[in-house]
Amino acid sequence: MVRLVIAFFITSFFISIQSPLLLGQDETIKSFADDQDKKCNAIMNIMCNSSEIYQDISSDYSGLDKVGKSVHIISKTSFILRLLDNNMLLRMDLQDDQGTRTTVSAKNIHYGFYIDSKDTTNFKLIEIDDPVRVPDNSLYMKPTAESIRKYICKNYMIGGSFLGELIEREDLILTLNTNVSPWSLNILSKNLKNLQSMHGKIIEGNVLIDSDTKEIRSGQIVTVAQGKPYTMNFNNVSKKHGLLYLLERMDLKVYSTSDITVIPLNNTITTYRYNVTVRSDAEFRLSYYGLPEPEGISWDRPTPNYIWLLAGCGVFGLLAVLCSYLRRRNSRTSITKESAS
Amino acid sequence: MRFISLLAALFAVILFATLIVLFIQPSELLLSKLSISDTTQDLGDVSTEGITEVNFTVINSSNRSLRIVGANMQCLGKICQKPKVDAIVVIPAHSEVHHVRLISFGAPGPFDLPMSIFVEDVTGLRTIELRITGVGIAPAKPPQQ
Repeated sequence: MVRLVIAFFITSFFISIQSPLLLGQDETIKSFADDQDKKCNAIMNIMCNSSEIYQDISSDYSGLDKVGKSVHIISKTSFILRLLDNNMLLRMDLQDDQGTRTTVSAKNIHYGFYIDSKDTTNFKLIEIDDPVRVPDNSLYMKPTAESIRKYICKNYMIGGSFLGELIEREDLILTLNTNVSPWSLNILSKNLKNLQSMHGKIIEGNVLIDSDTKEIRSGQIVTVAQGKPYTMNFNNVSKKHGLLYLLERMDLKVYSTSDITVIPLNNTITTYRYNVTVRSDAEFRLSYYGLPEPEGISWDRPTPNYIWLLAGCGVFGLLAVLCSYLRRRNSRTSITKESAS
Repeated sequence: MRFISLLAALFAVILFATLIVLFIQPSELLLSKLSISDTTQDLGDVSTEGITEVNFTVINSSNRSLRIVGANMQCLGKICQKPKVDAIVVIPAHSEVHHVRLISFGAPGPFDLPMSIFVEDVTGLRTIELRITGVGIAPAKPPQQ
């Protein structure tokens, strides 16, 4: 009996030192979140420096709507993400049964702007502002490092949030189990009383994380939309692009979780492709889209005509002075020669 | 030699004169040619029922066609506004067009709504700030029998 008790305590001790819960769970998750941040920043740095990586997304929305009717919509969206010096650009070409609509939000050293087009050619201006303040238009994605980061680092995100953001939420309990492979992260909300105030937030979930790449592989999370909980199942497939692991495909299933029944709303398959294309800096300017440049803004232009005229004036002026000097010198020389003779 | 000297001096003078003309001409062009007659409009009492149309007259006083290349749309509190025409509008030389904004009210009360219109002037892209003020009045309820 005594041996059994001793064996129990020894086993319990070894189990406890293996368990991350008793080994500073908060620190483990924080260090993991930092690790993910570093990986995301590495992707951002390479993207910024290369300025040649573009992202295409196609989505296939199909399934059943609220009344059980079959729904099938295919949309193709391409995002051009560029961060070069002070230039940033987010372009979205949305194709569906209504046609194609293009929206561009961008900024350059002089200004930030939002434009859109119903036919990808005739753009109209929606907003323009100082490049630092870039107008915040709810209809468009703001061309900032933060918004671009959220598109680049999708394979490190949980339901639209980075782990670091979830850690900062005091209403969540996060538990990371690193004793299993892949790692398992459990998310639980402490307070579920008022769902209306939780709009857009994650309230619970369980996600599997690749212990080597630190990517979010798959999982199930519950978010809130207009006071109702929605369950999302997702499955990520990533591929190595040089030094980077980038999300290649995401399968997403969304369910409305009412009290008793589970109604499938849609089934999204999103594919992210990364193209390497060299484009000109002109894309960050309004003139590229057939719109005028703001008054007082001038980009690199060929030498203005007045400079050539000024140069011509100088050359002919000098020629006139030179000819006049030579003429006087010749006449002086001839007078000297005449007087000498 | 004298002839060459005179010719060079003549060319220099001609070029200098051309330069002066070129400098004078753009300074005249660099003045804005697009204007809006009433950038601020007080609508007074407006019914909050339905959509209210507000008319601005954009005048092109230049010798060439200019364009309205965009206009912002926004909601401020419970009042929203957007341009009626959702496309680029060309204003022919020496003419005017009406720029109409559609206003919808979510609640009665005084309002002060700033908005922007983006125009291609001879000087380049210009933002003209517009403003609409007034008081939204809820429609009278039918008397109860």
